[in-house]
Amino acid sequence: MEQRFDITQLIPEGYKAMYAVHTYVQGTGLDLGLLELVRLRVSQANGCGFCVAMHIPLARKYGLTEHQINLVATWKESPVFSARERAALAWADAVTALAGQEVPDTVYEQVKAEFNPEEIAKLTLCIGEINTWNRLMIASRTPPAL
Amino acid sequence: MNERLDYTKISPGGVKAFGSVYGYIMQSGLDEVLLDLVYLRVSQINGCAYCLDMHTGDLIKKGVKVEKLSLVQVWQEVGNLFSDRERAALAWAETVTRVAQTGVPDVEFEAASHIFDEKELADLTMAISLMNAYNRLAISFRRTPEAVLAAKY
Repeated sequence: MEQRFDITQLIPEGYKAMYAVHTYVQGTGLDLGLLELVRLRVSQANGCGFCVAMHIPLARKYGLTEHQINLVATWKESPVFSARERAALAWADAVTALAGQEVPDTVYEQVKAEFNPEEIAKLTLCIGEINTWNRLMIASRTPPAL
Repeated sequence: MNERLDYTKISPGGVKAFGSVYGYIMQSGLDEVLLDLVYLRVSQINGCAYCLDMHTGDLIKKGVKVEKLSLVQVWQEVGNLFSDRERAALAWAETVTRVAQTGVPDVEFEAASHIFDEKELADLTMAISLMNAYNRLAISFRRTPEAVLAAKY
């Protein structure tokens, strides 16, 4: 598992621009623990080892319990998440998978029941952001910083 | 298919932040037609109406013939209609977009590395990853394509 290329070295300006997206998402006012929960889930779905290794300690730092961290991969069957967290996870799954090339109304209704439109937009920016990082890190085979 | 919410109005700061990444790629030195072909192919895979409309229009403006555009989805089957660089970029775009299924295997990386140098490949990967985010925003909120607005339904 050798790193293929290093975007921070090859295209520092591009990396900086992407990092500014991250900074924006961090400043949206959404709970940082919730953002980490979403980032961890999306990174699992996409299969990004670097990102999972990064977001587990961050999830812990921003208040997620060990039970929650351990059960993110099976969140649908795990009773340790609030309705708001479940809505965010369902939305993150649907937006990431784009199954049938869409994000279904049922999932949108679920997220609307827990988040206002502004929060939904910001949550989706976070999901878009982590989808971008996942692809960058997997494609470049960046190893987890352990 | 009504628009669910207008994220460009609700969260202009986020759109602007992603716009800076787009701006970076535009000046990266990668050919603009090549980039738009990649954007179009990624948007086809994900199923983004707003993005298909935009990038098809951009490619027509840049002089790409509709006969070629109509075959982007089946680029592997049309011989040399697409150049070696275009074919390599489209193959890389497909494997990086479908990351959850592919894991971006070595064989694809080697093929792309044969055509693009390291920096080009990093820029191309940034472009593909960015379009995957843009597609997700537009699909999630059912952003209305310009063509639909122009047709005044």
